[in-house]
Order: sequence, then structure tokens, then C-alpha cells
Amino acid sequence: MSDKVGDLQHDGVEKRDVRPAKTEVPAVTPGQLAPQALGLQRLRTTPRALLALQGTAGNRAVMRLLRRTPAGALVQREGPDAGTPTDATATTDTGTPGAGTGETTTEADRTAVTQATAIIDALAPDPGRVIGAHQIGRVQSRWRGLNDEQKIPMARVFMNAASDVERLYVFKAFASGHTAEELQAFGNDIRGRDGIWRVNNLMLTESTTGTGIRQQFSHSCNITMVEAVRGEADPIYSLEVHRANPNLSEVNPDVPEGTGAQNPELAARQRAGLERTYTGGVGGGTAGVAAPVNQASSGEGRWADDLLNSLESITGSRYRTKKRDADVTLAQIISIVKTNAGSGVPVALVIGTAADNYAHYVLVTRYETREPVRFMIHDPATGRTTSRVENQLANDRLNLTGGAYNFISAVEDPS
Amino acid sequence: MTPDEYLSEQRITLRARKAIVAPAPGATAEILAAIARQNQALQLAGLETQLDPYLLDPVKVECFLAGLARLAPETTAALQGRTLYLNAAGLRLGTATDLTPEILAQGFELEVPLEPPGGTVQPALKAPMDAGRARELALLAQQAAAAFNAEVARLEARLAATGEEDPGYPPLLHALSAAKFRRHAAVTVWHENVARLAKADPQDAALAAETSAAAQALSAYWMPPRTGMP
Repeated sequence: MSDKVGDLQHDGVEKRDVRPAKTEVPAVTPGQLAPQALGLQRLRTTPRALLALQGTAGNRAVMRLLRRTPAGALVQREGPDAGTPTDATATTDTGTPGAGTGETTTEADRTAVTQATAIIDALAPDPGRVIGAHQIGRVQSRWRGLNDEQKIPMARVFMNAASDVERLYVFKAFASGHTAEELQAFGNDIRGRDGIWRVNNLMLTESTTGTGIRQQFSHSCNITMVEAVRGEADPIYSLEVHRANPNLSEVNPDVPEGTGAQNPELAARQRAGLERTYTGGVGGGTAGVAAPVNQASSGEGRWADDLLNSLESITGSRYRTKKRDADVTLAQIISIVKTNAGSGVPVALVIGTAADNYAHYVLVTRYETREPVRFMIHDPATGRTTSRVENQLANDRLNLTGGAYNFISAVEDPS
Repeated sequence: MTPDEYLSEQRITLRARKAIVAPAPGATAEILAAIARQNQALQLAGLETQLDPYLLDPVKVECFLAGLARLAPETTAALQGRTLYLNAAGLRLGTATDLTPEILAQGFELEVPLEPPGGTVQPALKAPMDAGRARELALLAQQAAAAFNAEVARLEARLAATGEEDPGYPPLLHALSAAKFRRHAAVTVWHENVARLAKADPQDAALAAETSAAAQALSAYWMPPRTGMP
């Protein structure tokens, strides 16, 4: 068992299968059901018909059908792999997003809205981690709340995505509240990027090498966890953080800020969050104190429920701190994690050296129900995402953060 | 002028970890009581107090507060209205530093950084070094680190021989965690003291080599904080 920072392979990091078609697309395999068998020739692109198709054949069958319609000219043709970037030459100008505000609404615009509505209505959680049930609900809710005029620029962006997977990321960004202009810029940013690039840039945890965002101070696990939560919800934010901090999985343990620092921009964000006045619901909570990693005895942490709740408009979740035993049993905490992480809502756990020791925040990004059933946990201290099984959570043998912490002592409940 | 009077006059709030004490009569006693409580809660079984970088020394803190009134006027001005963080690494008020109450009683100066966001100020203390005490602490800590390292190795070997579902596995895992924290504490104290000695005598090649060895150990035996949220 190694103790070295950044050498926690024994923690069971499972490098993600980054083949886009395997990891990021809806459940039904392309071509699993022949179009003839589904009677596609008779189907029309009405939301009801598409919903019926989605129910039997999945998101991708719906998207394929839409591409066969006359308005399919709006959708770029994809290769056999849904994650493969589309040949850009297939793009037409019709419906190009952001062609100018105040434009006359065209038939293509109306078609784009109809198609986007159909796709959004038919969205289902994908078995990868691009979009979960919670965010799909937010996509659908926000879409329904827009009037037709507001929908047009959004629909243009959605239907201009180069692939189904790119579209899912744009939907995610839409769910987190971005404007049409921001979505358009984002759509351009990700156009034609491969699955590895997307995984490594559009989230802040669980890269293709098992790494992610890392705390830059001894006690900034709280704000780092919050940044990871935001990154899970908002791919535009993730991309910004990656661009500003190319080494976000690294830290200089002696010099977190200024000359010699690995991530000065990230450190500035983290200091601000860590030392922000605490306004959450935990009695006795105070602002933290920033100190270099190698001066941990000088730093102080903080509870993070207020930081999490400041993102409610982005994540759609409101968190409440529940301490083990005082507010909730360990079994109930595990149940909270399963329910929420299973539907795409990340859950922050506080872990420590005992059931009443509140030392460190980690983030459960996923509850993987396919075999092997496991929890994916991002540790801000190491900048690594690792997996744990239920027995390890339930029996106080987490063995996280260099073997320091074994107990779950609290949960930020998003229920 | 008593420390409480000085703090009130300059509107200086004291902070020791989570304990924040506003300037008022009795502030000194209140912060010292909080430190005593924190030290009791933080104490790690099997680790000597003088080798624990997390503990503040209440006697040093008391001497430090008593000396604040003798600071240069510009230093006092820089502290005015702010929160003085007693755990700041640069103050060296912990149990595992060479700073002694006697040195503090002779007077000191503070280097006060520009205010960071949050208003908590972490000054650096300028006072003579007790090289003998630093050398003694470095040696003790180095020896303790070696002993704790052997303890970690023994526990890891036992853990490897125990099945994860064995009822004895969790207690072993917890004991291993505590042993690693002890080792990290000792290595930290070793590094801090030997690095100070090396900085004071940059021509000493042996000290430079020992500092490098201590830094390597600190990296290899890294552990996260023992403190977090209240």
C-alpha cells in the first residue's frame, strides 16, 4: 500500500472506458432494432411518436429518425459511432444558430423547435455520465418554461450539434441556465472534439486517467468539492476551469499562490470560497483559513452547505448538512447517496477518523448500478476519483485520502 | 496596559482554529480556555505534545499576547480592526517550535501581510531563534518518525494478511490511520525545525542535506489535516 500523494492506484481508480459510444450515449445500441421492425417508415416526428420510439429503442433511435426527416438537413450526419465528430462539410447554413436576433422566424426555425421539443421530451438517462435523470428533468422544465421566440435560438444550437453526444452536453449546459449565446459559443468550442477530450475537459472529476480538480490549500476540500459539483452540472464552467488551470490535478504543497504555484487562478477561487463568511445551517460554523498543504496544522476548514446552496440555480439542488448519528444513521446516509447519485445528483460526504470527526469533504459523483456495483468518489485532497463498494462505506473502512479517513461522519443531503 | 486593554483599544479579534474571541475584558482568558479545549480534543494517542504541530502552547500564547502592546506603532496600525490568527505558521506559537516564553518576554516584532479576503491576518513573528531547542526538536522528531514508520510497516503487513471481511480488519485499518498521522506529525516537526536551522546557516551542508531528506519524507508520508469542521 503506497502512501505517496498522487500514487493512490491501490484505491481502485478505474480508468473510464472513454470510447464515446460505450460511455456517453444512451442505452440502446445503434442498429439494435432494424428500422423496418419498428415501422419507422410510418412514423412521423411528432413528440408522441418519438416518445413511443424512445421507449422501445432509446434516444439514439429517435435522433436517427429525426435525421431522416426533411428537416434533418439541420442535423449534421454522424458516423457509425455517435461520439465521432461529424464531417463539418455536411453542415448547412439553414438554421445556423445565432444568425442574428430579430430575424424573421423561418420554417426551419419552427422545425428546429419541433425537433428539439421531441428530443427533449424523449430524453432518458444515459448509462454513461453525460446526463442523468435529475438534469433531464431540468432540461425539460426549462424548455417548457420558454416561449416560442425564446426557444428558437436555443433550438438552433441544439439541432446544430455535430453529434448526439455533443447535443447532450449542450443540454447539460442549458439545464444549468446558460443563455443561447453562451450555448452557441460552447457548441462551437466542443464541435468535433473526440470523447477523450470531452471527458477530460467538460467535467472536473474522473478524467481518462482518473484525475480531477484538486484542493490548492490544506483545508480547501470544501470549496473544491463545490467546484466539482458545479462542474458535474455545468460543462461550460468545467471548460473554463480547465482552460484557466491546465494543471488542476496538481498542487505545489509549499506555494499555492503566486510564483511557483501550480494553479494560481484556482487557488484564488479556492481561497475566496474557503475564507468566505459561513452562512449555512451548521451551528458553530465559521469561515476557514487558507494555508499551504505542507502547513496543514495552520489551516482551518469550513462547512460547505452555504457554498453548495449558492449554486442552486445552476444545480437545481438544495443541500442540508446531516451529521451521522445526530441527524441520521449511516444506513440512511448510504441510502441518500444511492438515491441521489443514482439519478445524477452528486452527493458530498464528510469523512474523518471517527463517526463524529468531521475532517474532509469528498464527492460521490456516481452510484454505478451495473456490475460491479460501486460508488465513484472524488477526493479533492488527492485530485483522484476512486471507487468504493457498499460494504466499505457501511463498515467504516473507506480507506480514503492516503489511508487517513475510514468513517463517513456527515452528508450534504440534496433530497 | 493589559493584553485585554490593548486588544480592545486596537479592536483586534483573536482566533484560535474555530474559536473567535472579540476584543473585550476577559478575551485573553477566553482564548486560552478555548486553546486548552482544542488541545485536549486534538491530542493524538502515542504522540508527544512537543512533537505535535497541531497544538498551540498556552504559555507561549499568553506571553505573545502580553508582548503585543510593545509592538511598533506601525505594526499595531496594521493589526487594527483585524482578526489575529494565533495558529498562523509564521507565529510559531505551537508546542513543537523553538520559540520559548523567555524569547517572547524579551520582545518581538511582527511582519503583517496585506489583508487577504476574509480579514483574518496571519503575521510572521520576528525574534531570535533558539538553535539548541530547534536542534533538539529536529532530532527527537526524526527519531520518532523512524519509530512510527516501523509501526506503519508492521500494521500494513498485518493488514495485508487479514481479509477485508475479517472482523479484525476495520480496527487494523483505523490503527494504521492513527500511526500514519503520528508519522506525519513527527516528519512535519523534523522538517520545520531543521529547515529553520538550515535557513539560519546556509553554509552548513549537513543541515542542507538533512532538510532535503526531511522534505522528501514529508512528501512520501503526506497525510491530510487532522482538523476540519467543528
